[in-house]
Amino acid sequence: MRRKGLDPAALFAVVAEEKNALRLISLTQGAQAAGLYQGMALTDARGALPDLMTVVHAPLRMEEGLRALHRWAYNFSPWVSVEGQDGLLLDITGCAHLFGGEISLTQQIQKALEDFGFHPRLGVADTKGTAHAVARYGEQPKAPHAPFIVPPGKARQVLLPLPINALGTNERDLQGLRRLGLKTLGDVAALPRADLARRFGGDLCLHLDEALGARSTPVSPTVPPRIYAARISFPDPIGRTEDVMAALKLLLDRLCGDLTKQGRGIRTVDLIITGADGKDQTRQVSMARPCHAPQPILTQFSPLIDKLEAGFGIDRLRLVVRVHEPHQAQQLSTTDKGGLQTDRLADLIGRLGNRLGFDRVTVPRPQQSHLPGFDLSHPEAISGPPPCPWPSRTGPDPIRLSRAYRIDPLKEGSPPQAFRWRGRRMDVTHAQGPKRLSGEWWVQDPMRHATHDYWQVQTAQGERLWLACDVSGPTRHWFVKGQMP
Amino acid sequence: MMRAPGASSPLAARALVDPVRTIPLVAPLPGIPLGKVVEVCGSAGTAFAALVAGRTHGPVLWILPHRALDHPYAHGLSRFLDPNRLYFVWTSCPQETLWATEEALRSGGAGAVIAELPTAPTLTQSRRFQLAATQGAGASLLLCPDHHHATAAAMRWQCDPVLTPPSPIKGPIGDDWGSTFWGWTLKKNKMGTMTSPTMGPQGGWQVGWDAKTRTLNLVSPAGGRSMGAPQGA
Repeated sequence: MRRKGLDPAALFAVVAEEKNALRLISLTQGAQAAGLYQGMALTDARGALPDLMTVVHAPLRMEEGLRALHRWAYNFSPWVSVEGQDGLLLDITGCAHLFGGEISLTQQIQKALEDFGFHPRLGVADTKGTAHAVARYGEQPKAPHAPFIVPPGKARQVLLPLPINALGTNERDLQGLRRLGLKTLGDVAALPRADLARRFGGDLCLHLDEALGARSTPVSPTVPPRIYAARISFPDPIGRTEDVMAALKLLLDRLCGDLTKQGRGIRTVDLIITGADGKDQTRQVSMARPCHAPQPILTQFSPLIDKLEAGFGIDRLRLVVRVHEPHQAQQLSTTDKGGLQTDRLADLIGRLGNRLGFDRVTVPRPQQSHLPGFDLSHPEAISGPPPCPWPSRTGPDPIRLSRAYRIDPLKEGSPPQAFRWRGRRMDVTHAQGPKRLSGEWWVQDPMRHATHDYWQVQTAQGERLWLACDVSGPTRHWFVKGQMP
Repeated sequence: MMRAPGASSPLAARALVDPVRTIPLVAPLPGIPLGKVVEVCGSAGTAFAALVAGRTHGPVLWILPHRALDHPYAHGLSRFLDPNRLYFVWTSCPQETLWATEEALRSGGAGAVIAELPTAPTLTQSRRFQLAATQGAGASLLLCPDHHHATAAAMRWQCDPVLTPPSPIKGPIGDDWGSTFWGWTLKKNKMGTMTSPTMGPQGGWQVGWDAKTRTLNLVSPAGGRSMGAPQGA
């Protein structure tokens, strides 16, 4: 299936990187007529056709398109599955007569897909394997709107001249078959089965049976991902905060009703605001725990709505749930203070994160390193990192860690006997050290390569400081790296 | 309406039935009241706050400016409290700090809220903090620079490190320093009538912290003799 939105005769191709080169993976009829083929290197294609238009393959967009088609295909059958990257499989048992028979049904599908801008290949057959083979490898009828329909019980005759790729088996087996000089399904089917199974394993025989219609496997429908969304359009553009909030409340009530029925809660929700000028603005709100009550979400939205630029007014609001999770109902208890505190903390994290950014609300967790400052990671609190055991440390650690604050010794020494720190003179009365921490040369970060000596010093002024001395360079530089408790 | 003779005022009655819960520190020192804003000044304030937070239950929310010169170090704090309880909120400007502190105090989701303020709070700011803290009812500590103006805080502690003599037994490098001494001065105490009438001796208390046993003890400024419990009849 190819999405073009342009004239099929145009010279156009989709390229992607394959086998270390940019290659054409999909082309128009016009390009095919000009002698290009699938899998051709882009450089060769450009040589042949300098004015070939190309676009880079976007798998995500393609997947999205296929998903949309998947939903659309439910118009014709309740039993639809996605096949590979570019196929849909419909079980039309008992559906065809609703559309006036198989021929009429396939014609309707083909017509609709051509209207969408695709050039579909359709096949109808008794079994899944046969339909797959004729749709992908069958010789498509020349007449327009005449799909490939295999009459009941005639699968074998139709399939025997098809190439072996139609088996749908893996590439290794195909290679093996090709090496044996077998080109069509007929060649393979003519061989004794026992020999075939001994040479290629039972898998190939299974595929052969499926293709020839001797064995039928059911279509297992792919469940389309559930989308929770609600929208509201206004007869006249609105601009007042209260109106927007009221509309938002309506949407949230509707959405939360749906979610509650399914036992799910919102984690991230987008509000898409379409202005009278047709421009979209998006505001996102995340919750620290799955939530299916409208009020907390409304509270999170209210500061964002306050700051919203309405311009000439707002025409349409759309609320789309981006992330949802199962919502666990909890027994409320009057004695369990811990549960109440957890709920309040989750609300607080959501409120802080939505205003400051969720990367600003973190929890400390130990990290593999022996250098101070690098031995901590700060995962976001909203992701809910589980508590972990902290390594027991030998020796006292500083209670505060500074950015390396360079000091100039007033009195030399190791460590300096007097220095100036935050505008105050510090006289060292006693010191403990050095504790040498060598750099971690095995990591990329150059900040972690230097070797430092660390000293704890007690000053006459009372302050207990943690000094560091860079010993990797020729001159000794002293830093205050932290404060001891 | 006439009040029956002998009935106490509603405020006093409330104080009787609902005494302020406090976190005890060490014997003669007044405890840290919950639901009241406590200002902590001085360079040993971090240790003081960590010590108090370690004696509460539930999460500890630490609000701190993103671009400060130094940050609390979770491995060091682990001597005072379980670091798995810590949540850090990094703010990028004073307004954010004030807002985050007020929200955190109000929510009641944390057992202790510690906010590092770049400047001392004004009367209005500290009044708002106090109102929020009353709702949240957790330990509410503001680490701020020393100041002398009026605020709505219930207590103001001045915490400074004090020269600690080296341990007589010189252990191997990386060994503990033994006791750590701090000078704690209570500069303001609105709760005086409820807990301790005194503001402490002139010049504050000298407190020693034993990291191994995690205990606080009171030492006389001269060093050596412990004051211990008050001598009574």
